Amino acid sequence: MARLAGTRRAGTAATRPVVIIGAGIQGCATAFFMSQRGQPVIVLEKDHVGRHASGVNAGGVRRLGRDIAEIPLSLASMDWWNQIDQLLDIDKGFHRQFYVKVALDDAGADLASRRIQQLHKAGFQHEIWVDRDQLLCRIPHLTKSVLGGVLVEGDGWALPWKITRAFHDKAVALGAEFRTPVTVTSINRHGEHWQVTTDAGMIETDIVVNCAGAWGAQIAKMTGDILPIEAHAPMLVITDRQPMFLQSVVGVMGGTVSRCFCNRLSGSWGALCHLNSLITGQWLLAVASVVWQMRRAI
Amino acid sequence: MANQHFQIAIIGAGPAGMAAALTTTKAGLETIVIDDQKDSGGQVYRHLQANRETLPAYLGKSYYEGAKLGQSFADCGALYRPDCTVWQITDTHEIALVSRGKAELITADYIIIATGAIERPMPVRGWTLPGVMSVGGAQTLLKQAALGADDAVFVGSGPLLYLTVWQYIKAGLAVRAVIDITGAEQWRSAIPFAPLALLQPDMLAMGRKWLRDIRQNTEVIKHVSAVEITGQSQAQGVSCTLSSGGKIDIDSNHIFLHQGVVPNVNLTMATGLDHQWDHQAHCWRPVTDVTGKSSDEQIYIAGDGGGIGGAKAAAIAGRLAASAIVARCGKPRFLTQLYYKLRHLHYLSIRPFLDRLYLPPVHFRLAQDDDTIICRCEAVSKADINAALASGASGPNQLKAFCRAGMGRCQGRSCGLVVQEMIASHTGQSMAETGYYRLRPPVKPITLAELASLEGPWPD
Repeated sequence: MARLAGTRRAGTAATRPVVIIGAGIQGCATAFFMSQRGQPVIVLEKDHVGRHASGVNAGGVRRLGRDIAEIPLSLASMDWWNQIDQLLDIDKGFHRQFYVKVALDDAGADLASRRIQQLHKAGFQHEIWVDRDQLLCRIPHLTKSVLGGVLVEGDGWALPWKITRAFHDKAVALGAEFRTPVTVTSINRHGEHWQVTTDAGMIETDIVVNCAGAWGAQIAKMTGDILPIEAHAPMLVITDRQPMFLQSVVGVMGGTVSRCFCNRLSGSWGALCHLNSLITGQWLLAVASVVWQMRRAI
Repeated sequence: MANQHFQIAIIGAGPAGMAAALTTTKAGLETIVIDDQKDSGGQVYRHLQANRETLPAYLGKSYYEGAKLGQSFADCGALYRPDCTVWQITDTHEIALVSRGKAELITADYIIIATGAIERPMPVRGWTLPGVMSVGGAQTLLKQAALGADDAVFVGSGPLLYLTVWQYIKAGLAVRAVIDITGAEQWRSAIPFAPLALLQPDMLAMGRKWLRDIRQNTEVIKHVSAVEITGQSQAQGVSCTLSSGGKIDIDSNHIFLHQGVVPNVNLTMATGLDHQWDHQAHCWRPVTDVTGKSSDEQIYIAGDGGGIGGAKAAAIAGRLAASAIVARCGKPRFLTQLYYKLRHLHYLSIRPFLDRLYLPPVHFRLAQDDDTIICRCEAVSKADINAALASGASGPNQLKAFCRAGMGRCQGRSCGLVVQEMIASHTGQSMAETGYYRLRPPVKPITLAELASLEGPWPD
C-alpha cells in the first residue's frame, strides 16, 4: 500500500473521495475502515470483487513464519481478526486454532531452533517449539517420524471469499462506492491533486491507495515508482469433501507455502509435494476434484 | 526420469480417435491412443468387439457399421492404452495420465483430442430422483450389459433418444411412452434447411424408420409445454402439461431424459484452447480450422468434441486431422485431404437442419421450479443461484464463490450450460458474453495417492 500524496495536513478528512485501486481484501478492508471514519472512498476494480488472490487462496491467517519486518503488522492485524465477527456482522469469519510448521528431519529442526532464537532476540515470543509427542497428540494423523514443530497458538484460517465479500458489503453499507469493471489507465499529478484516468472516465482526488496486489507494480509505475513486485502463482489442490480430521494448518519447516496441508470444514485442501511424507494412510485416498492452477487464474 | 515421448498422442478411442490412428500409423508415425474406457469404440461403438460375438440385432445396423473401423484400429500398430484417463495437458504439451492407481506424464509432438460429446443437461423438476437417468446412460447399459427396463418413459428429443427407444423396442422391452418436446417453432426454423439435409438421404431414411417404428409400438406424446417427474424418494411417474392446457400423468419408475448432445469441452477448455459459442447448436466448441487445428498449433480436435457431427463425420474428422499432421510431418497428401474435407462437409450437411429441429425449447433448457437442483454435485438449487445473482454475482466464475455451483466433481458437465443461460437471462447479456466456468485440471477426478505417485523431481 502506498500513499501517493501528502499535501494536506494530517488529521483532516479529504473532501474529495479517496481512490482505492483494487477490490481484493486489502482494497475492501481499506474502503471499510475509511468509510467507518466517515471518509468517502471510490474503489476501482478491473474485474470483480475478490476475483484473484483474495477470492481463491488457502485462507491461512497466520503470524507464523512471517518476515521480522512483517511481524508487528501481523500481530496488530490479529487483534482485528479476533473480533472480525462483530466488526463485519458475520458468523465464524475467523477459525482460531493453531498453525504449525513441522520439522521432518534434522535440517528442519535446526532451522526451527534458529528461527525461534532469532525471534526471541527481536523480542517476539509468539512462535514456540513443540516436541514430537505433543505434536502427535494434537495432530494424530501426522507422520510418526516427525521431530517436532514451530507453532503459533491462535493463528487460524478464514474463508477468503467470505471475508473479502463481508468487507465489501460492510463498506458499501457505510457509503463506499465500488466501480467494476473499471481499469485505471494512468495517474497524473495535476496541481495539488491526482487525476486518475480510467476506461470509464477521470476522477480527481487527493489520495490514491494502491491495493492492486499482483498488479501493484503497474499502478505504482504510473506515478513513476518502481516496486519490486512480481506475480507468483502457487498451485493449490482442492479435494473432494472429507470428514474433518485436521484442526490446524500444517506446513513443513524449510518447505515452501506449497507444502502445507489443511482441512477446512467438510472440504480438505492439500498440496502436491510431500503428501506421502506428511500425512499418513487413509487420507491419501481423498479425491482431488479441482486443482486451482493459479498460474492460469492470473 | 525422462517422460515417454510419442510423435502422436490421440486422446479418446471413439470413431474420430480410431480413424486418426489409422492414418498416423500408416504414415509410420509413432502413435499412442489413450482411452478412459476399457475397450475402443467410444460411446457410439461401445462394447462392439464383444457384441460381435452374439450380434444382438436390436442394436441396429448403424452400430455394427463400426466393426470394420474397430478391427482396423486393433490391427493398426498404435500403442493402445485402455482404462487410462487424461487429467491434464500442460502448456509444454505434457499429457498427464492416470491408469490403475498410478499417474504418469508423457509427451507428444502432436495431440489429437477426440473426447466426443456429452448430453445436454435437462433440469426438469425431479430429474435428480432415483429412477431417472439420461438416455445415453440407458443406452450404455443396453450396449455394455444387455440391461434394459420395462415400462420406461423417454422424455426429450434428438436422434440419440429416438435410436435408443427404437433399440429398446427391438430388444422386446415395453416402452410406456415417449414424450417428445420438439415444438412447432423448432420445425419452423429447421424446415428451410431441409433441402440441405437431403444430401444425407440415408440418415434421413434411418430417422424416419426409427420414428415410424416408435409410433407403431408405443404412445408418443407431442406438443408438450412442461414436464415434471413425480415421486418423493424415487421416480413414480411423469406429469406433462400439453400446449393445449391438458395434463397427462404416466406412472413409471424409469424415466430417461435427453435433449441432445454437446461437445465435451472440459479437456480442451482446461488446456487453455480458444473456444467460441456456437449459436446454431447452442453450445461451446473449440475454435479450429477446417482440419481441426486448435488455437494451439500442436493440438487438433477431431470428432464431436469439436462440434457435433455424429459417428461418421467424426471418423472423417479424425482422418482429416491426422492427414493434416502427417502433411506437417513432411508427407503432404493434397488430394487425400481434399477428399476428407469434402466428405466431412457432406456429413455435416444435415446438421443445420438437425441442430435447429432438436434445439430444446428454452423452458426445457432452464429449470422451471425454484427447488429444482441445478448443480447436482454441490446440491445448488435454482433458487440458490437466483439469490446469488440478486446479490451481485456477475458471471459463472463469480457464482462459484457465491454458492459453489459448478465446483463439484463433474466440473460443470451437468450444470454449466444451464447456469450460463440463467446468468445470461438475468443480466441480458448474450451467451458468448456471459462465458463459461473457468475449467482447471484435473479434468477427471483423481486421488491424492495417484497424484503423489507421480515421479519427481519436484520444483520448490
